[in-house]
Amino acid sequence: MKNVKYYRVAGLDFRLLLPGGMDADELLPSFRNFKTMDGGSLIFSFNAAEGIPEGLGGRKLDESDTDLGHMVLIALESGADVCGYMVELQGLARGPVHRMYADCLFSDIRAELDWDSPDAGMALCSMLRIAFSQAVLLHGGISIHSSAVALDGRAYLFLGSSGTGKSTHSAMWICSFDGCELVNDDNPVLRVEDDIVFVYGSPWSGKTPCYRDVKYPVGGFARLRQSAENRFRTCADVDAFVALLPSCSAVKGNMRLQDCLYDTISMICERVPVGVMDCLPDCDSARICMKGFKY
Amino acid sequence: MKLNDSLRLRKMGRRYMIVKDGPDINLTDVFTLNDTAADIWEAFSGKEFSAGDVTAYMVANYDVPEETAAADVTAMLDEWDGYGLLQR
Repeated sequence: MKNVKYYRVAGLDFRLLLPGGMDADELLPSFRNFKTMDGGSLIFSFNAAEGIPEGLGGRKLDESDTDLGHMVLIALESGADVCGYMVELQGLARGPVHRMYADCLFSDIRAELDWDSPDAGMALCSMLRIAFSQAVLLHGGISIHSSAVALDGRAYLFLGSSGTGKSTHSAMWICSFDGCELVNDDNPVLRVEDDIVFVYGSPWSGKTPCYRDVKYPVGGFARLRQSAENRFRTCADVDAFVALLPSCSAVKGNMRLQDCLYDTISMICERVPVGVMDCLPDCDSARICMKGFKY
Repeated sequence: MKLNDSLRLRKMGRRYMIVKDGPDINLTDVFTLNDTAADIWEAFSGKEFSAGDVTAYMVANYDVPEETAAADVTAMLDEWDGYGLLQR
């Protein structure tokens, strides 16, 4: 019997096929708030039940170590053209390698996981994050590496490379402003709808279990930089684009996905304040950042 | 020569830019172009052209003597070439 689940993140649906008898809620606890019914059009289908295509060759695009383990991204080639991608994930314990195949636009995904491995659920969650982050681009969305808080009906997103203090800055907002709460701590999703930029919670929130199916209009973005003083500088046009770009991802060399990403970032920069925030890890930084967005 | 046809000129507010994959997987280069450079980019997009063609375009469309235009165009095209914005 087919084991099919549907999820909706940022208003966009995708389908997950698991081997019979596997419990999706147990494998993917962070997805429980995002379950939906079959019905909407799908941005991708993720088949983890039937293996991946055989005999695919390619060249390595990227290899990186994250706090989840080791990842290799391979561009699959047919002649001179890229015809898809392979992602290989290996957990921190250097256990089995889990593999994911995707077509060029990340709409058709197949995966082969070692279900006996204790990190299978985590690997599946990571694969879904990668698939979603690329598939969403064609639908005017961006999965953005950031920490997001909501205050008085608007969300504010904090960007920066790992270790910069995004989560810490969110915590400073939460302790400084009554009613301020965390939306997502690692990978919220942006979409522009009817000229308004919205951020959505997601099932991917880094180390903080904050998997909320919520949606807020965005009040501002701040790229954080550790500093000896608190100072906010507003960025306009190209500088705003450059402030957002490193926190977004489109597969290198994929012009179609990159074009979509750059279009969406441009639209966002024209509608929402963007700034660079030099900050200390203190409550004053939250007040200065908030003031920066208002003026 | 031709402009690198994988690149697109984009307008951000009042400024022009070109976004290009950097040499490293995680790096992306963003180039800004002034109004004149952006005008030249648009005029020669998709075409085979020489430095002389661009100089002639400058002289015809901007109030600039030919020698000055030729020197500016050479410097600009060398810079574009160095950043991978051209196909030779």
